[in-house]
Amino acid sequence: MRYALSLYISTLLVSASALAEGLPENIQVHGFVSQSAAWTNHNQVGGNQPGKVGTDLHEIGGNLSWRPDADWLVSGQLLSRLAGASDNGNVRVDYAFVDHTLLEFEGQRVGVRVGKIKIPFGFYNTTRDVAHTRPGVIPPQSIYYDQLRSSFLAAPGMAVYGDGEMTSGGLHWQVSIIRPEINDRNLTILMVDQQPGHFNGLPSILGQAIYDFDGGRWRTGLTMSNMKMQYQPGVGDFLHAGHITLNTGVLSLERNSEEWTHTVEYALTHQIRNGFNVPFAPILDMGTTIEAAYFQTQWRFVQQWQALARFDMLYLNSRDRNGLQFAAATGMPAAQRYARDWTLGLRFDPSKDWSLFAEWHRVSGAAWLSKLDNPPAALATPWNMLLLQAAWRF
Amino acid sequence: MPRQITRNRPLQLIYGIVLALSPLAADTAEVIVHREVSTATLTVSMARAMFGMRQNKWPDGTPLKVFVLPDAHPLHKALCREVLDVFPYQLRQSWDRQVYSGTGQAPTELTSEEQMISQVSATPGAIGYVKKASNSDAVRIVPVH
Repeated sequence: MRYALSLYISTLLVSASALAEGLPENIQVHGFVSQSAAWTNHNQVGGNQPGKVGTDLHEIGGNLSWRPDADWLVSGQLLSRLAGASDNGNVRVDYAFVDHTLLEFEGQRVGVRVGKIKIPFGFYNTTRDVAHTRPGVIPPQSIYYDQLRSSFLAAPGMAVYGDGEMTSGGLHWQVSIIRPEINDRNLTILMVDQQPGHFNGLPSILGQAIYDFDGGRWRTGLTMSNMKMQYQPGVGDFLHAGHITLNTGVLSLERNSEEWTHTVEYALTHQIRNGFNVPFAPILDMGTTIEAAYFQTQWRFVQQWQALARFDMLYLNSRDRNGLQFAAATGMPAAQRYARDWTLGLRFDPSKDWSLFAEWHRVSGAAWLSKLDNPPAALATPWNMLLLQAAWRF
Repeated sequence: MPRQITRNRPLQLIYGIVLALSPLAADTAEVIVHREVSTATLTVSMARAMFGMRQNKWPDGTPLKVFVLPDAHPLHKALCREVLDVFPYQLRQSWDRQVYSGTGQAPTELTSEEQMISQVSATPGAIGYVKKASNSDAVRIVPVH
């Protein structure tokens, strides 16, 4: 059924791409499809069993944008994402907003966006589900942590933004006030384990500035966010209506040359928790600092081909990097508190619309694996993963 | 010094011939606009904002229409290298980020220089590019400093 549905949506997209040619010039239609296969020797990704291949991994999206005049832009995108047990492939609104340019002069502009907006976070977040815009099959999980994606992906709210090109470089910034849509089982399990309740987003604020030097040969970025959520206890829940605040800072740096792109991103998330009030699980009200970083090199060694090397690390408690204190306090495996991932990858772009990826991961720890696919007691470390992906876009 | 020049002359001659014959030399890009666009010159920053799809209109309010050639086209590479001073893949990444996050639209991609001239000449507010010394009265050349 899942495959019939994805085939049907993909066929619709192909028809839309044919229609795109004949649209009025102020309306554009674009879309993307990706299908991946995952093999692991331990743990589960994309619905596989260890030692076997899983293919429950796709991303299908289509968008429409309309510029009724120079100062207005209306745009929306639908997305279906299948990712093992953690995302079921249902079609949902990825974004839908109105953009109004308030002032514009000589390479500068300032505007507002209102509606369900994508959230700028690090270099890749706004288009993290579009294969062509990613450095590899999956974005570096330390910073683009899929289990937390619902809180950072897109949310109803408004944003003020600016783009300025100057002789010295280009500055792109956005400040957003949003209410995250986080009624998501992945996030609930990540935050409070297997409890019947769910989280609701509270008004949150997020800002990003990216500065490009020397025609983009250097790109630097700073993202700061203050995301708030409240727990809504379920029936028979022993947790109270606790609050979690995530204060995050991300530093981003990229060096571009004709053949090479080197990227480093570093993030600290201070997690403040209170109000869960469970006497036998005081850990639920203990704050931690999540530390995340990756170093990545992309090499365009011949036309249409690209190689990738990356080291990615995530520590859910920067003071307990190997999870041993956590394991001692809870009796749960230490591996769910950290992940160190070495990645080698290859990308081939046979045409502008098609990309093929292959990627090998050697991971110790399992902090970023979905707990819906991998009950903590069953986690194994270290583990290997091979990912293959074919992607098309228009 | 004069002796040195004399000594290097054969080498310069060979270099000149190679340059003249190489396809790269033929593709020196020049920015063109629709004849009714009132802007006389552009700064590199303005040209980057326009071809980067981060500018919606001309200073006189006319909506901006951006035309480009495919990423691998020698003339597109020449525009990126000589006029904008960016790598073509960066321009593509910038367009993709906007198109798939809803914050902007893609430029219109054409296949040839002839098509570029005919589209830019027929579309009010259009900007594009041609080979240097292309002779066409249908469009206006705008120097970028």
